[in-house]
Amino acid sequence: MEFLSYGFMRNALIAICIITPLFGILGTMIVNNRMAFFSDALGHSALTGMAIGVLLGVAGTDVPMLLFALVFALVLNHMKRKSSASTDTIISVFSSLGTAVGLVILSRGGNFSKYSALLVGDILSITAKEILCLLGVLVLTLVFWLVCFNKLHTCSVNKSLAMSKGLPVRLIEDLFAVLIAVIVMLSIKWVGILIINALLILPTAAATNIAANMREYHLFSVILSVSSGLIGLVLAYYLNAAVGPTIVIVAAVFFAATFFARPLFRT
Amino acid sequence: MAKRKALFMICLLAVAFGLTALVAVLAEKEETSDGLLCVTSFYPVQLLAESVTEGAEGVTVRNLTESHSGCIHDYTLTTQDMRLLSTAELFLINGGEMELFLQKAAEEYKDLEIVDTSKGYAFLEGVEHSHEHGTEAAEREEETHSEEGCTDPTHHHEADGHDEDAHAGHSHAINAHIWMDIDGYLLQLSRVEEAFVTADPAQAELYRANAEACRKELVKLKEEYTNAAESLKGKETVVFHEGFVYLLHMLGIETVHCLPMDSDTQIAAGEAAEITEECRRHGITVLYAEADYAKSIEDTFGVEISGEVVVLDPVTGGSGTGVSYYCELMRQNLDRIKQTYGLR
Repeated sequence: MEFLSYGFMRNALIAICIITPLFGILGTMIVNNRMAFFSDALGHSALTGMAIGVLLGVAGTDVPMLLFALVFALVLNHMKRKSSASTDTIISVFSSLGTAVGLVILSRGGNFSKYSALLVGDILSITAKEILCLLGVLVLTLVFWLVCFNKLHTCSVNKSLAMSKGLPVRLIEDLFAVLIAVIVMLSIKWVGILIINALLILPTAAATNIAANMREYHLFSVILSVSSGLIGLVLAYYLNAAVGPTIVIVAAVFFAATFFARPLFRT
Repeated sequence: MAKRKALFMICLLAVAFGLTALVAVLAEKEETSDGLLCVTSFYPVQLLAESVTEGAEGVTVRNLTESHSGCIHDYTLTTQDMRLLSTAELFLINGGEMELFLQKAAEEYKDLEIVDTSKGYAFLEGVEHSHEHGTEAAEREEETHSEEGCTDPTHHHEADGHDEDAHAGHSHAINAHIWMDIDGYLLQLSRVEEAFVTADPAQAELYRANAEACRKELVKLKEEYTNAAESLKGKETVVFHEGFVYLLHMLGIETVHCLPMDSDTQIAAGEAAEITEECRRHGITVLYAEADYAKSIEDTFGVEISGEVVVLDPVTGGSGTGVSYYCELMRQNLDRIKQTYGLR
């Protein structure tokens, strides 16, 4: 337990204990609603958010990133509803545009390397204040999950049915998009654009392999997400590897294990 | 069925956590050294520390950015670095805002003696390198680029008192590549010498003798540069590494534009045009770059200005040890420059 003697590792450990259950829960909703690609696009839009922050000369780029992601998510949802093109086409357009605008602005003067840390993230530099912020988001997510999960699930199963039952489908979808935007933006600095989606999706996908009902699905997703996070952090420390990618590899191993174990649970 | 699943999950997690614990136990058994452990922030400082401590007993010099080649503006500390620093007594840094990752280390290890080897040096102005500082940075960069390039040797930044600001996250566009100026490197040598004399007074004489030997070597090298400067004075060039500004400045060669390159740099179209224009205006046909980027620079500008790209070594990595190796590389640089202008 030598690693706990360092402040940066203790902070990272606490952050992991908050982020991973958050991702575990959010992941189930994202996978259910087939929005995996959506959260990926949001991650890429962080580049543009940061670029806008840099242009405006704001001291921290967090606020512009967050605001941009909210606008991005809502406009994307709106376009999805209005356009005749398929959802993945619309998302792909937004994702690429978000990346391109960010790259053009951030690479001015050939200085993109300054921002390349955003691509893989650095959870070791998280501070106590930022951890508190993540804790707030965890509470928010839990509230949303308790209040809206069933409604969201109905929407994902059959939108017409949800509407006929009088559910505010649009509002729920927009709220969910906003929640994803907030979580992705607040955790992207620690997790990294390139892998944030893997962390959201992998534990949930592993849970899907063996879960028979919604309760198991959520439970396994959270357990596997937290375990991947803890194991990944400790391994990264001892093997001198980047934390985010190590967590993803552990989560992928869990996915493989559950995938091959599936026949065991067939009735 | 539920029981079987629970059993599976328990086994899966037990194996995963068990293997992790095994890795941790094996890794913790490694390394612990006795005596004075000195950590240097990167290569040029490491060379100084190696020479000054040559033959000293119980002194270990380790470099922080061992696996990193090139300058360290964008380096972030790895977990291994943090562990190394936690066992170190002396941490020698280049200073001049080169070590942007330092803030974290300074916060983490309040007892660690951090020695800024460039303290008191009058830095040249540089091109922006620091992280996320918005328009202030961008404006400074534009200013720097717009007129006479990034260097005006009359514009100096004093190093003293900048540390606090650097830690607070402000950017100052300092050219921190002090080791490429031999006088700067001599200053660093004295700082390193003092650091070891203070940290380990028992072997002070040895440190002083080693430092003196290095000083002689460096003074001799400086003389060679000064001699060459007589024939090279007044020439103009464009460079693609901030360190070369110092090196060429010693030879009296004026840098009209400096564009620092790194692994993520792509030369923007506008900047390429600007550099081409400047080269034509000043009649420049010789550009200086480090080996990694020479090819791409040659491709971009070679035909446009009908000139050549000369490769210099920024002494930020290599296989040698000690100040002699520094002198060897700097002599190679001098020879290449002389050849380019048809001297000797």
